[in-house]
Amino acid sequence: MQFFNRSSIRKTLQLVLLTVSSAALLMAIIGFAINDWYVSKQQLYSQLRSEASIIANNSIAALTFGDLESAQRTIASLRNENNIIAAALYSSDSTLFAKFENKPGYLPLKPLSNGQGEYQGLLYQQLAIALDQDNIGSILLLADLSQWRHQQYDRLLTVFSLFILALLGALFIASRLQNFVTQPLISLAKTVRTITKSKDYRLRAQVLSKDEIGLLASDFNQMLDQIQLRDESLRLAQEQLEEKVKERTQELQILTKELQHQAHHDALTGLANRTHFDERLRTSIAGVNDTGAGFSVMFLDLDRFKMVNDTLGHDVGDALLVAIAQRLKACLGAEDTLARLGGDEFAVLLNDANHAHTQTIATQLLTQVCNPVEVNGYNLQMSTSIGVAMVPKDGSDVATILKNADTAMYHSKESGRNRVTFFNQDMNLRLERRLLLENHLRDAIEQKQLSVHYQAKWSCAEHRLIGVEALVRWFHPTLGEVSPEEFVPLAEECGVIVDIDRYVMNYACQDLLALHTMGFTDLQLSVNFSPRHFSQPDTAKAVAEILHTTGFPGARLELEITESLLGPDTEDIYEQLQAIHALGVEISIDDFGRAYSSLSRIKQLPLHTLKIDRDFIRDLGQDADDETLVVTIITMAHNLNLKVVAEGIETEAQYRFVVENNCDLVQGFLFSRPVEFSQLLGLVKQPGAVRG
Amino acid sequence: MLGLLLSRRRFTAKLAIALAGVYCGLVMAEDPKQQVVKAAFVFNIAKFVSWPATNQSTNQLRICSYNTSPLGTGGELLKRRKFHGKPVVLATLEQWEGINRCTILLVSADNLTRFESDRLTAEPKSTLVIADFTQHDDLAGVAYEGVHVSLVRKGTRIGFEINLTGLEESGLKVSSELLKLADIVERPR
Repeated sequence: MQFFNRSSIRKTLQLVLLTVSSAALLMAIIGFAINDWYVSKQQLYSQLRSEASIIANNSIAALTFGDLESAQRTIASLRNENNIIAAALYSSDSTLFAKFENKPGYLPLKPLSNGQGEYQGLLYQQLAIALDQDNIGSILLLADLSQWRHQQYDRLLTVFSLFILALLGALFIASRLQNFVTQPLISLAKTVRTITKSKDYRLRAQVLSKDEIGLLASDFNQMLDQIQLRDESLRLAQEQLEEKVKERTQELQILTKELQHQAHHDALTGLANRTHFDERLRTSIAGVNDTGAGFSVMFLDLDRFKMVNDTLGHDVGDALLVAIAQRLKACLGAEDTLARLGGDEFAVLLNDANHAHTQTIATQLLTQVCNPVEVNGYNLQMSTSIGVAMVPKDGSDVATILKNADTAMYHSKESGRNRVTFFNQDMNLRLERRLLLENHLRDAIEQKQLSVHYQAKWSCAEHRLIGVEALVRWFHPTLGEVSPEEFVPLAEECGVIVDIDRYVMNYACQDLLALHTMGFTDLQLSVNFSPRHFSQPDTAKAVAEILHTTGFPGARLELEITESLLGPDTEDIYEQLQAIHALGVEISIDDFGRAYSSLSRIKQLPLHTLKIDRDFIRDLGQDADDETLVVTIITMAHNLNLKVVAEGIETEAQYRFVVENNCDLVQGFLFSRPVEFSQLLGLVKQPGAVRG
Repeated sequence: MLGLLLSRRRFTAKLAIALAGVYCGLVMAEDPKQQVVKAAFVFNIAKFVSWPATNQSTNQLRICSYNTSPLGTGGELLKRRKFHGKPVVLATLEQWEGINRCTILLVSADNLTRFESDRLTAEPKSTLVIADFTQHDDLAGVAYEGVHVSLVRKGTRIGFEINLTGLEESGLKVSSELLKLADIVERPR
């Protein structure tokens, strides 16, 4: 069986055909040979029997009458039979009566058993001889087998030769016939190999027959159809997949770019963010280290931007930032970097260490910011404070450079805003002082370093003192007198202002109550009230508590709040103001005109007084616009049933202008500087100052 | 000898031996052994002869002796034999008229003349006539009217002569095998 597994079908088929045909032939030949052997032997016996029978018949009389001569004559007639070796006639008493021998020595003396068989390598045939039912003897013929054997061998040789010939013929026919079977198979196998090699599934096997191999070829072709279909669908799926992957990759690339951009850029303005700016800064610093070429860093902070955000809302603030960012960018070169560091802070990296050039650019930036901006229907005029650090002079690392630029910027702020300041080492001293103050300020209340001064408010109509504004003063044991302009913004920033305001209110209420008990009962007390109070829920409660503990009448108390509180998102402030108002306390808007207040908001809130900012008052008599503005404010306030206070009145002209324009109250150095309580007592006791 | 008579086979075998020459030297004197041989000859010759249908003795082999039996006591042996299944009957023909009842008529040489004269009165029909000339060599060599087969002495053996013409006339037929062994004799002209 292994042989067949290893051989080709062609050889196997040939072998099978050959084996079958040769087996059939061999069996036929063996059959014929055996038959021939048997038949020819029977013929031989038959012939012997005939001869014996003839001799027997012809010898009956001789045997009957014992005529030996006649018997000899008869039996001798066999001499012409080549195959007869010997013959004998036996009497009925089994004695040899007559004989004939071609070859002597074979004849037995006694008869053999009747019938036929082999005797001493010879064929024998023995017949009984009878006459009228009496056995009168027997005849025995002995025949030579060698001739017959030769004849048989000749025949076998012939048959074997024929067998070989037939086998060759069968081989030839088998080699031809197997083509009918193997040719389609070989063709099919060739196609399969070609497809396997070329991977070309469009090829098809040729169907050469209608038998099982033909069916196999058809089925194979159907399978190829399926494979081709599957391949096609796979190819389509792959294409779709590749397309999808490509799309996704592109999306990812875009997203990555966006993320990178977002990571490095400010979402609102599209400018570089702090991270990006820091990187650029580091690169530039490395450049300085390598080439020695310097550069400058500007730190910009918009002045009073918080007020815009608080009063007009974040939408306006954001739009304003975008507009200003565009203007700033327009002033800079392609090599320069403009970044938004957060809130209203911007930074510029100028690839130029030239002081004069930096100054020029900074001035351009100032100018651009100062130009009025139209945002959401508001015409806004902004300014910015700029600090500049020159590299490498003002620092060699990112932190130092930015800190110094920031310090310079604060200096610009402190110097009155809307200006450029180049950093110098002295500025760090101021910063250090600021930190020092901030640290001491937290202990100032407990250590009773704070005191209260009072500035008088005069009624224009009655020309008399009708109230005072309580102003905090700080005297530190080692630092000495610290200006409120220095420490109040600091207290605002670090949140201590709430405690300070409450301290001042408590302190002043006690002072004023003393005056009330002295008879000046209608003297009003104004206290500055930081917007910070309104970020705490117990503001009204705290005010009530102070009134309760001091016993000061709420109707004589006025809280001065800044205009920035009147922004759009002031619903809870309204409630808090209402609660305070319910205590009888009046509310005044301090520094009115600095920010942007909505008239409708002013109308809604429980207000009593507007206090015109001293900036407008200062320019009265010099700036017609300011004069118009002041007149407008007074008129508007009156229309809203609000009293108007003009603060910072320092000259007679200023006083006259506000009086002429029906201002209700005035406050300023023209009448009185802020004084200690002891001095206030002197003021109120002046004749006509306060009604007793 | 008696044992041999117990069966036909033995008898035939013994007869054959006798023919082979055991008794060859005994012909000169008519002894019982020779008579047995002659009886066997008569019986065996009958086996090679076919009778016409007109023969009256169809159900037996009737061997008649003319006047005296040439077989002597040898004829007794034949009585126990069957001939083609039929019994063998020995008889003496005393009256010529009964000739046609005989299947075989044995005629001794002494009675030959008388036989010839008797047959002139009535010629036998289909009766095989066997004459015994074994004691009379002078009678041998020629055919006699009415005699079909003659037993003769041939040296030490017994032989027989056949008169073909006589056989033809009587309607009897003899096997060629028998003719092969016999001497054919004819009547003198």
